[in-house]
Parts: sequence; C-alpha cells; structure tokens
Amino acid sequence: MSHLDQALLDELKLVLEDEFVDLISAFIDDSNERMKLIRQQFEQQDWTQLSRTAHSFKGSAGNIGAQVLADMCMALEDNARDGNCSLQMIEQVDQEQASVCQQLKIIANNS
Amino acid sequence: MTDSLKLKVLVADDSETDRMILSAIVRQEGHEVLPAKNGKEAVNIYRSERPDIVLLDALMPVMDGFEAARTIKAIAGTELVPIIFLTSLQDPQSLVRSLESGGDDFLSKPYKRVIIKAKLTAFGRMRSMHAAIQANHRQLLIEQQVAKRVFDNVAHQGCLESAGIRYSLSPLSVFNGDTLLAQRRPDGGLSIFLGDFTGHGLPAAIGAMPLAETFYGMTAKGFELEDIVKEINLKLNNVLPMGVFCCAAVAHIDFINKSLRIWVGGLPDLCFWRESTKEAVAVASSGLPLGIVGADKFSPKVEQYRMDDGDRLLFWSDGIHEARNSEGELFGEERLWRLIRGREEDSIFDAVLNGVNEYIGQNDREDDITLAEVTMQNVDLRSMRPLGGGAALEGVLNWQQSTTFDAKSLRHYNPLPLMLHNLSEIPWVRQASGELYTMLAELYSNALEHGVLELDSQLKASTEGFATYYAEREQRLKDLKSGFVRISFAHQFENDTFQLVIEVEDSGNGFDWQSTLNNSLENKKYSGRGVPLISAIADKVEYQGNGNFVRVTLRKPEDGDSI
Amino acid sequence: MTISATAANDQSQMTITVDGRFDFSSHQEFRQVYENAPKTIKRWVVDMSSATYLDSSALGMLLLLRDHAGGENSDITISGCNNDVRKILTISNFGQLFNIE
Repeated sequence: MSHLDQALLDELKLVLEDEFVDLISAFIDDSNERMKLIRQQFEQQDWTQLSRTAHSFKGSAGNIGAQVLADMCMALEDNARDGNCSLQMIEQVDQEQASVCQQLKIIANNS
Repeated sequence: MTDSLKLKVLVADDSETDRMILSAIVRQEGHEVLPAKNGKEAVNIYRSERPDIVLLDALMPVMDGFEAARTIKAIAGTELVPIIFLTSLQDPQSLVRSLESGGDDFLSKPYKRVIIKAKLTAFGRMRSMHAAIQANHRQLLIEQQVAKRVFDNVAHQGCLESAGIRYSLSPLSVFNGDTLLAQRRPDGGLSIFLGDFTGHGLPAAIGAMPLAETFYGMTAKGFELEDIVKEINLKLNNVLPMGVFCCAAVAHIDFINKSLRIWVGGLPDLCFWRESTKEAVAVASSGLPLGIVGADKFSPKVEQYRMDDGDRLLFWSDGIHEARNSEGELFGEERLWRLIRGREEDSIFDAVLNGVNEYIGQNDREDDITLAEVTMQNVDLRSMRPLGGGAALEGVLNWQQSTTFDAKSLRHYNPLPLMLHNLSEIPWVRQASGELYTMLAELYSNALEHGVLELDSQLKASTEGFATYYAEREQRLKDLKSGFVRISFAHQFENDTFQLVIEVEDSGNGFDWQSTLNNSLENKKYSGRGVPLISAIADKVEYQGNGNFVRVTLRKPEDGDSI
Repeated sequence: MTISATAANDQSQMTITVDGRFDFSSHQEFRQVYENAPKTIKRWVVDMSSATYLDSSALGMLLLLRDHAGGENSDITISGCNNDVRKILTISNFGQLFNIE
C-alpha cells in the first residue's frame, strides 16, 4: 500500500511550482515536531491536547496526500478524546510518519 | 463586476504547510493573499488591510478561529466580509459553533482546488453585489434627506410652534406617512390638520405637498373648514393613484367664539377633553378618508363643540394603537382611552406620550407615532394682528362697493374670503386684516344667523344648546328659500384721514341690539359676544331700525398705532 | 396570509377569500386574483371570515378592486368581518363604497 497519493502531489507541484520543495521540507520539520509533541503529551497523559495535536496533524497530512497517516491521526484523535490511547498506537503513527517523510524526501530530490 | 475580479484574501492557519498550500491555490486563481499564523494576527491584518474574504482555521494558538471571526465581524460593522472556516472538524457541534461565531461557510481539509475556486468566485460576486446595493442605499439616503428638507419646509411648518399647541412627531423614518399642519386663520383662530397617508416614505410624502399648499393658503384666506376639506379631497383625488388615500382630521379652533369645529375621516376616535367636567369625549370619524371619491360624492360632516378655556383636543394617528411591547402585543385603542381617563398626571399629552413610550420600551416602533394637542386659551385679540407692509397713500383711495347675497348664495357660499380679498387692496386695511376678518365674520354671522335664519343666540348658553344651535343653523340654511344679506364697503378720505365704512343689512326682523351692546367683552356668556367684540375693534358702531342694519366705521390709525 | 378565489358556476360572481393578515404583503396576490378573473364576473364577494387583521394598504387594495370592478357601478360585498376588521371599515366609512355584511 502506498503511503502517498501521487496524483495529489503532482497537482501540488503544479500549483506551488518552486515552492514545492519548501513545502515538503516544511512538512517534514513540522511532522517531526508534531511527533515529539504527541509523545510528550502521551507521557503527561494530557488527552485533550493530544487529541488537538492529532487533529491538526490529520489536516496537514491529508493536504499533502498522506491519507494513511491522516486516517491514523483521526483514530488517535478519537481515542485520545476518550482517554484510551495506547503506546502501540503512537508507535504505529510514528512508523507511518517516518515512511511518509522518507518518500517525500525522494520526491523532493527528484524535483 | 466580473468573475475574474481580484480579491484580497486573508488566509489564517497555524499549520505552515496547510497555509502554503491554500495560499498557493488562492494566488493561482489570481487573488492576493495575506497570510496569518493565528487568530490574533488575522484580526490585526484584517484591521490594517481590510481584505475582501477571510479564510480561518478553527483551532489555532493564541486566538482561535471562533474568537477571530467574532472580532472581525464586529470591526466590519455593516460591511459584508465573508468568513470561511477551514476545517477538518466533522462533529455537527463544531460546525454550528463556527456559524454562530459569524462564519458564512466551510472549506474542509484536504483542500479541493475546484471547490476553493468556486467558493471564492461566489463570495466575491456576493461582495460586489453588496457593495453596489450599499452604494445605491447611500445615494437613496442622500436623496431622501434632500426631499425631507423640502417636505419639512412644506409640511411641518406653519404655526405648529404657537402657544397652545404641543406635538410629537416620530423621528424614526425619513418620512413617516403622517402629516401635521397648523395655520392661523385671519381672525387669529387656528386650523390644525393631521393626516395619515397609506404607506410610508416618498410615496406617502408626495401627497402631502399639494395638501399642505391648499391647507395653508385656504386657511390664511379664511375659508370655511368644509370648503378646505372639500378642496383637499378634490386635489388628492386628482393626484393620488387609486388605492392611496389620506386618513385625516381637520380642526378649527375659534379663540373668539370659544368653539371647536372638527371633521374626521378615517382616523380612529380623537379625544376632546372638557376641563370643567374632566370628561373625555370621543370624536368619531364621520367620513371617507381624503382622496378616495370625487367632489360630487364627498360632503364632509363637521362637528361643532363649545370649547372653554383649558379644554383640549388630542389628535393621534393609528401608530399609537399599533405600537407593540416587547412581547409583540398591540397597545390598542382601549388601553389608550383607559390611560386618558385614568391618568394621574395633569397633562393628557404627557400621560399618553409617556404611557406609550413606557409600553413599547426599547422595542422598535412599527408605525409612525404622531400626537398633537391644542388647548383653548384666553387670547388677547390685539396680540394676534398679522403684520403687513404698505405705505399710506398706495392703492385705491375713494371707492365703494355693495354686494347682495340671496338665499341661494347664502346656502352654498361663504363670502368672507372674497370680501377680505377685496379689502386687502387697501394697504392700511391689509395691515389689520386679522381684526377686520374677525369683525366681518361677526357682522356676517349676526346678519345670517340672527337675522335671516332667526336663530336665538340665547340657545348657545348651554353645552347641549350649543350643539342644537348649530344643528338648527345647518337645517334652516338648507331649507332657506328667501332672504338676503347685503354688505357694502366705502373707503373715503375724510377729516384728514382715511376711513372704511362697512354696512351690513339683512332681511330679518332685527334684534335687541341695545341690551346686547351693554354686554362687555369679559362677559363669560357665549351668546351675543359678537357685538361687544365689534365695538372693541371699530371706531364707531351704529345700529339702525330693528337692528337689521349696522354701520361700522374704521379710521386709519396714526403711524405706530393699532386700529 | 393567503388569497384564494372561486367563481360561481355561471361565472357571474367571484368570491375572494382572505386568510390571516390582510396587509401590503398580499398586494401582488390580491391584484392577480381580480386581474385574472373572467370578464363575465359582475358581482364580487370578499370573504373576510378568516381574516384576522386589515391595514390601510388592504383598504387601498379594496379600492383597487372597486376601480377594476367598475368604480361607482361596481357590486362588491365584504362579508364575514370580525370585530377588528369591521371597526376599521367603519372608521374609514367604507360602507359608502362597499356592501358590508
């Protein structure tokens, strides 16, 4: 299963032109930042903030064509809101985030 | 206004990548982008840059989208600023929250280019339409203000500021359908007109123009109430479109004879307040509103009341009945009359005005509230003299004229305005046209009522008799087959001064003028007032024979003197 | 507020029924009713039994109908008025222009 929606990325490339590379590096920095925040909030068991972080992450991931990551964020958002969030779930999101970023780097290098 | 209109679009999102993507899409559609990282930045940029459309992420640090939307809408005031929420929110509660904080639409993540394009186009079009409507509205307001100035000059002037009159006009719309006019009669009396046109605004105000001209002109010339009402009806019938008319009340307050003559057509009951008995008499509508039927179908029925000092007439339009409280209930006619009858304050005017305002509270008034009150006062005749110009030797010097009015003329015609018009050719007489009209009116009504119609002035001594007297006058005049009143004027230069001699003769049996002459002006009896009044104005009064011939002489006053 | 109309079988009489508030908002509807009526209508009945309120614009509409129906020669009956409606018609002396039942 692909981590990224190629058609959507092609369209973004068209719209953003030179800025496309900047967009990708911004997303990579941003998502690393968000993962850190998610782990922190999990350790502090701050479910409300965790849910909000997952919510924002979901939006950004969807916008860049990382649909699997967006879906996982949505599940995390829902579970965190109910306060039953497992470390395993966070590891899953982390893994998917790493794969997405890796693929994005390749795309960026080829642009 | 085209679809490719370039808009200034504020894009507020804390996620850098989302902001980049949305900005790029918006820019590619040919619009200018103003990016913001949180709600606070968005508000600041809105304040300084006034973008055309605002795209707001719901959840942002520092200030969230909901608060930013509320603040921006508050700053925008009446200007239309579409706010579109950017959201991946799915729960209905959050969507409702964004609408409640002033959002106009949503845009969901992940973004779809076609949808963004379509929404920007639609809101851009809506915005320019709104701007066009606002420009039209501003133009309309300017035009209305100019028209209102003209209207006020015509319709709300006259002598509404005279002693004895209090009024309140609703300031709520540029034109309300109400017209309130007051004008002095040549004898110092007052005529008041209250009209309520169908509809509001310009259409309602236009009809007031010919109406006011007619009312002012005919009143100042001394025409009878019936004739004025008939003429206004005819004018309005000619100029108003079918279905537009004017509900009205016209009252005529005679300070000399202490009487009230009133005609009401289509307005709710008015209130005539008798101070001595503390009695509120309802004066009901007796005719069609003005402007509906032609002259041949319109015969106004005028009511006549004795009006003592302190008696009042209260006018209002149906705006008072239709005033609503915060629960939407009507003030209603019953409540108004209860208020008048059961009030504690001394002034009915204040009681009604305060009562209505208290009732409606902060609520918007639906209709136009117009209220006016006239109080009968003891007026010094000499203070009412209208001023006019004219040098002593201008105009005609020696002339005379004699006019005889037969039964047919007496039935249908009031000769006073014509006679006054002729006499005002003489400059020194014109200066005293008020006194002159008063005197002529007395002489004429004595000749007509006591002479030709043989009415007994003693009848007028009581309230019931007063009404009977005028009912009888109307009946006898209608049935009049024979009789005459002859009025002659002579203007002469004699004993180094000008003098005007007026002779009035009638076909009646005369009256006991000697005892009537002994009545003084201060006498509170209502009958026979005319004769002492004439004596007070004229330099010489001579009755001859049975009293059916009277000669009155007026001398031109020395400069600075009144007659 | 609704206006409805029914013509008698022989098309000589039309009954216009007014439901609810009779005010300026029904101007268009009311006008359409009489303007689209068959030319054969000689007698008009305005049924007010379901009308709750009447303002001066409504009086204006009645005058327009009267004009359409021949002015002086029109034959218009206003029927079923409640007290409030009757009062307004009385104040305006519309009894001189219409048959009020």
